[in-house]
Amino acid sequence: MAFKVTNTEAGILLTKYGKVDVNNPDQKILEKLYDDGSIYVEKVEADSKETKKIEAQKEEPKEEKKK
Amino acid sequence: MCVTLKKLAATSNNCGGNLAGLVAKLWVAKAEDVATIPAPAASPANQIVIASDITMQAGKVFQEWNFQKDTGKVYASSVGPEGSLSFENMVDFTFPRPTLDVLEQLFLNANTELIVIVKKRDGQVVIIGDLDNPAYFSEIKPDSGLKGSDPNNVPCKLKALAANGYKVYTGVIPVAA
Repeated sequence: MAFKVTNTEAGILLTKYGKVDVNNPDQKILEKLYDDGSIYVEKVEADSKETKKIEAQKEEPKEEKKK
Repeated sequence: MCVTLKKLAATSNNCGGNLAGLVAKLWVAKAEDVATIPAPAASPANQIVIASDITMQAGKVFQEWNFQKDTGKVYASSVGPEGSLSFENMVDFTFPRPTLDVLEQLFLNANTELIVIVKKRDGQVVIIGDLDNPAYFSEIKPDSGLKGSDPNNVPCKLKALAANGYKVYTGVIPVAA
């Protein structure tokens, strides 16, 4: 199970568990924040992540054809 | 608001350290850029603790201001007559040099409504100001000094009125990269 930072345009989140780089977040800290009910952390389902990857791969060839 | 009286255990023999002062930085946002500051939960172990996250207006974050070490201090001072006390929550700090950015930020935000977060060396994170009673500068005093060995710095004071002293914050602080 993965977690992502959401609801913010901050570059860094300062938390009681340590500093979180929004672009490269420490998953262990995000999990703790999620358990605390933080509004800045969202759980990402593994399935949907895979689905997004697949969708992205499908879209790429179409763009190349247009060019 | 009154809370139930509780036993306060002796702390003088605590094995841990008891560092005074602030870490040499604070985080500041315009009050208009802060969407919500949660109230302390009604039934936690301690009712001055805000454990939920502050939320910001779209695209807004707190900015970090680094100041001179050992010049930061946060304190609450009771004001008013007995039986009708309220509080002034204060932060003192000094910028070591009057740089152009420091002067610009201070001179052009002299009357801006602010929310300020500071971290004490003992680990407590404290919020000064809320959306109804934001913090203001009560002193901005750039001073070139006289002699070459004098400080050439910018002492500042921020103040916010509060009914019940300052709040300790354990939520997330969103800041610029």
